[in-house]
Amino acid sequence: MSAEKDAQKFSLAYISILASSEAPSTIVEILADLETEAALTPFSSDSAILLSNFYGIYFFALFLCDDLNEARFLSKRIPMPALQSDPLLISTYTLLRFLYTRNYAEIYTVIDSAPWSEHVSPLVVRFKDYYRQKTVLLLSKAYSSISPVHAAVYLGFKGDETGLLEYIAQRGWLLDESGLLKPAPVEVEEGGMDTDAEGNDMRIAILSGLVTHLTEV
Amino acid sequence: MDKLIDSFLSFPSSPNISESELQKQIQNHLSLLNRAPAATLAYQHAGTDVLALLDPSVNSLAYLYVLVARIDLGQKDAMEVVWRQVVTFLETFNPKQVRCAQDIFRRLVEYFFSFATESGKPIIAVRPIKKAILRFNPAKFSFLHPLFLRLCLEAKCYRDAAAIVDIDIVEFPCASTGKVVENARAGEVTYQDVLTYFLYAGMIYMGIKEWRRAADYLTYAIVAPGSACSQIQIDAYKKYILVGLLLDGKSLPIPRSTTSVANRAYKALSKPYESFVVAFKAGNPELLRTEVTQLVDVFRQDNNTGLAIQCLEAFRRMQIIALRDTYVTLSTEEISKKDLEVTGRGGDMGGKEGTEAVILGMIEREEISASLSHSHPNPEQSQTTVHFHNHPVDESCNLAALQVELRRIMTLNKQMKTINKKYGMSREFIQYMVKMAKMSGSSVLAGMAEPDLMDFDYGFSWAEDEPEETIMQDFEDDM
Repeated sequence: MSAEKDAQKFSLAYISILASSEAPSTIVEILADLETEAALTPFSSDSAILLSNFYGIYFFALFLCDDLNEARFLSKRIPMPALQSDPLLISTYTLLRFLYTRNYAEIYTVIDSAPWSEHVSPLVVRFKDYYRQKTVLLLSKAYSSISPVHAAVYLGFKGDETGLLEYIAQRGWLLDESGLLKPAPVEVEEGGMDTDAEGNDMRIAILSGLVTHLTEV
Repeated sequence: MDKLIDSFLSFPSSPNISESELQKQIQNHLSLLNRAPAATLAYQHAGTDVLALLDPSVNSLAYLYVLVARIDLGQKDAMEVVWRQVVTFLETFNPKQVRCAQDIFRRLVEYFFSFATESGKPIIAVRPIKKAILRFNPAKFSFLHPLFLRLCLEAKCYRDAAAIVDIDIVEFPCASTGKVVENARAGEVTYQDVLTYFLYAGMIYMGIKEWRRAADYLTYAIVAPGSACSQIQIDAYKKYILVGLLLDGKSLPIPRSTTSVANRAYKALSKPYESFVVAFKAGNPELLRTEVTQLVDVFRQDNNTGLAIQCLEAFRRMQIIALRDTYVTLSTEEISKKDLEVTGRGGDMGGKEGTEAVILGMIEREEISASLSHSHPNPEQSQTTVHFHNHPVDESCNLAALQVELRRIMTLNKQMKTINKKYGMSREFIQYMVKMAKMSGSSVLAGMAEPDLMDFDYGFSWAEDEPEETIMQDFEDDM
């Protein structure tokens, strides 16, 4: 991609389509190319909407890639005044801080209440689902029993008990007689120790590759 | 000038010419370009911009020369005008052509580098230079490598840097033998370049908290051969100590192959760090707190404050892991009473809620095998208990990790074979062999036929005459 083309692509319409259609890692790659343009555009009332949406989408794509480190570095690359004055960026930055410090209660509050723009919202919705799913897997791994109040905080169902019970029932969690939740064990991911023919073929291929290699050296 | 442009455009004569024909044409083309005065190359003629006529991916050499001529004549102001074309060039150039004009290429990159850093926007150079590295062989060290990492550190672009440092360097350029005097300086890579690259790469991995890789890169800097010890190595060593604590709670040993000069320098100049390690390992939070207050200035001076703070965070985690040896179950309240929070941030970080959050994070990162359980549905009355498991990691994870390692070793082995072959056939090596043979008195041919010396097929040989223990020692040093 040439520099001239980048300059053309740096528009609200383009990044908006990108945010609603591409995989997060692709979005990150493309936005990283466009970041030069963003860095050269001074933050003013004219450019504010484009810049805040650009960085907002960039942040959420990184969140979805589980790359909080890079998101933190991105926040250091954005000019301070922009990060502190634009409502969209303030919320995104606050969310980043909560994600980084694992403040579960606040994470969902920010996601649900911040003034997301129409361009960023598709990614916000995706991220909320993704984060909930990630957390439910973590809880299944980490807890043998958990109080519903805590689970609601972790999964963003504070004050919505029916929502919580519905969500976890789909994942096979049980509510025992003492009122505690018993998370269902995480299913072993497929492709690990499976014994089907395909898996065996794979292993034989790897093994024969290794043997050939050993005879070569 | 029109004639010059025509000759620019007529090179290369066709995209599918043979390798030797291409080399011949490149040499002709270069002699033409080298003869043309900068003023002729730089200015627009008859209202047309030469750069607009040239395709940087096809007419790379001409494009490069015109760009450099313009910057040479116009300096900073010219850069303001042409930097976008520089970006386009770096992203699309033809590596075969540019390899033959390394000195000019290096000038262009260095102009661009100083333009980007001096204008306070280092980020504009990050992606273009990354793509330039990938257009050449990224596993072969070049002047671009340290320059790129420095840009990334300045611009805080760790993700892009990680993509490059993930590729292990397997080859360094040889010092040129004097025959190609013209290009001799351009390909030159200095000792400092290599050391800074390793230090920077270590810093990149510290930024993204990959302590294992960070320690590896710092090791390369620490063991670098030489008759003196560089400040870069000392900086690397200081960071190496802290990274060791973050990696598994102890200081990593100085590798055995470190030169004795460097070894002495490390020991003499890192005393404060050693005492920090002792306090860390003692497991006494009070002792560590006192130690830290004394060392704040040292860490600040060495720019290691961030790492040191992370060590303090790690202290609590390491101590929790150590509890596993004594307890099977323990409540978070008991753990928080041990007062392991040493970062001094206050708040509820040290409380039982904070402790629970820390353990949850540790389970997520697979630093510990444990499970948590609440005792009562009402949070007010509930107690959280930690059950430490001692069952080993999941078998499938082990298998996957093993496969990754195997693949890595296989690639490494292959790379090593190719390089061994390449250097075994190189002129320098054969000259060296001849010299050695002469010194030992036997004939050249006898020396060449010596099986031990010619046996380059093996990437490494098991030292048969060495006792087993030494081998194990080596191995441990590497861990």
